Amino acid sequence: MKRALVISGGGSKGAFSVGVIKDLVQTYHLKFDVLVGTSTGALITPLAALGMIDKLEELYTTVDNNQIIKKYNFGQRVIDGKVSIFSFEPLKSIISKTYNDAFFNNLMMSDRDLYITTVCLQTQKLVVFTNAKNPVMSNYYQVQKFVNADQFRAAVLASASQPVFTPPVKVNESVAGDAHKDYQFVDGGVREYAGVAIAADTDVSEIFTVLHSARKFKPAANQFTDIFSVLQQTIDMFITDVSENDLLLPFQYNAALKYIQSVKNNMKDLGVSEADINKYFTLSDLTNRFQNRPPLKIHVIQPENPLGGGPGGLDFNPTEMMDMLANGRLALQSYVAQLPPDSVDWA
Amino acid sequence: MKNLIVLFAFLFYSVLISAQASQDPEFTKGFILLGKLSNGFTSGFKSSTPDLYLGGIGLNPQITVAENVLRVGANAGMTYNNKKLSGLFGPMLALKIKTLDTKYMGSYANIHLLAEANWGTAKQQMAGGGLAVELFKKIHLGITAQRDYHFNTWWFQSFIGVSLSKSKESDD
Repeated sequence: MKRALVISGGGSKGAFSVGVIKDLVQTYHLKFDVLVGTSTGALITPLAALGMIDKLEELYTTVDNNQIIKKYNFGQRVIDGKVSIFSFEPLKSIISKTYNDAFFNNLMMSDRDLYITTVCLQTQKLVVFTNAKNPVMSNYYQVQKFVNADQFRAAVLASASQPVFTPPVKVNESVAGDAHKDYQFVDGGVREYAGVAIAADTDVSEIFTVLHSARKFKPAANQFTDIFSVLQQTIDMFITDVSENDLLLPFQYNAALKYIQSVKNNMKDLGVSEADINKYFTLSDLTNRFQNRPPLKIHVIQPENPLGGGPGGLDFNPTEMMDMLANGRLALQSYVAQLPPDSVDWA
Repeated sequence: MKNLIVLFAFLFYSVLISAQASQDPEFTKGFILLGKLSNGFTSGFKSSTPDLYLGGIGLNPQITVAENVLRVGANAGMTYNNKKLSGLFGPMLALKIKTLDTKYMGSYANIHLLAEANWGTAKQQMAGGGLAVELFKKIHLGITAQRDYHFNTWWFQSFIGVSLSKSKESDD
């Protein structure tokens, strides 16, 4: 059975995902054939693809704000016409060290398919960068294969770059012959917070999605009395809303697959032969996404309550992130505990 | 005077320690050049000298010598007082005491103390200090008080400064 791991965006909240991944890999011994990362998920999934869980844990429990972003005088950035409030120099350095050329070569030789989501500011399209030899195709997003290590690192940085807060990245600047080297890319979460739809387009049967937004919504007790607090709250709403929208379509798709499977079972019970059933459901349109596709098992693991980490997870506090990581492990245990018996073969 | 030096040293040390603890976008490395316009009065207090209008323009280059904490620089300007124009020149220090920031989006201003000494072409010999706010790294607003030890007068001024130097901080 092929499995996919989908990690959503959320900055420091990614520590929650690291807790989930740690137990999925080390306790349940799961291997993922497809990994889709958005934003902080794009930082996590390459390491997860190569099984470097300890490195992931180290990164997501030790880095602080100073190692991720460089802060400036907010007004100066606006007056000087800069492209973002913060810059990414410290994170760039971490990415260069962690995802060095040797790492990239291993990733390209790996049998795990990695998809990193970005959005192009010029075309407004969702652009997915991948090492997959036979990547998925869709009308909804464009797929580009990794060409070199610099482009890979730029794609990871772009996926993590929340527009306005951090600068857009020219992902294809290092790609010889690219017609649009100047195109700027930002966080894939602008269009696709959790890449479940991308994972569903591959040939996997089971998808593990980790979200960082809380399952239980608790109204804020405070008033929003200044521009910054309103902006911060808006970012959180934006992330939560995109998360719900992202899950809606894959769940509807899966509901349709389940419905088709039920109809086929009913037909079989009524004495229709397997060969006839297949004839009824086989069309000449080979691109039909419902054809010959069994229902997917989609697991959604998310925190019960808000994780903290500031708006969009822009606050990297190692102590808080250690709690998030522990929270991720607990959330997975709770999720597994409520699974119907025999519904999965790994727990 | 000794107490003042001790106080200044204590402030410098405590601000240096706090600045090193976290990323601070104020008083970053580099050079700034301020164009200053000042306005105020001179007073002899109990002496028979009347209070007199004081105005001036000047340039104030500064360089950060302790990141997030201390800048040193020089004042050079023209001042109008007692119906006379004179030139004023001297060294100055700026000690940052507070960064005003948003919780997650960086800073927007800082408050700093000023210490300066000036010598004038009309034989002024002054020392003093003040308090200033640097807003968006562009606009400086402040008040200063200086004692002219030669003429036994006090100079009280408010000023507005505009940064004339271009920021060299990178984008990415």
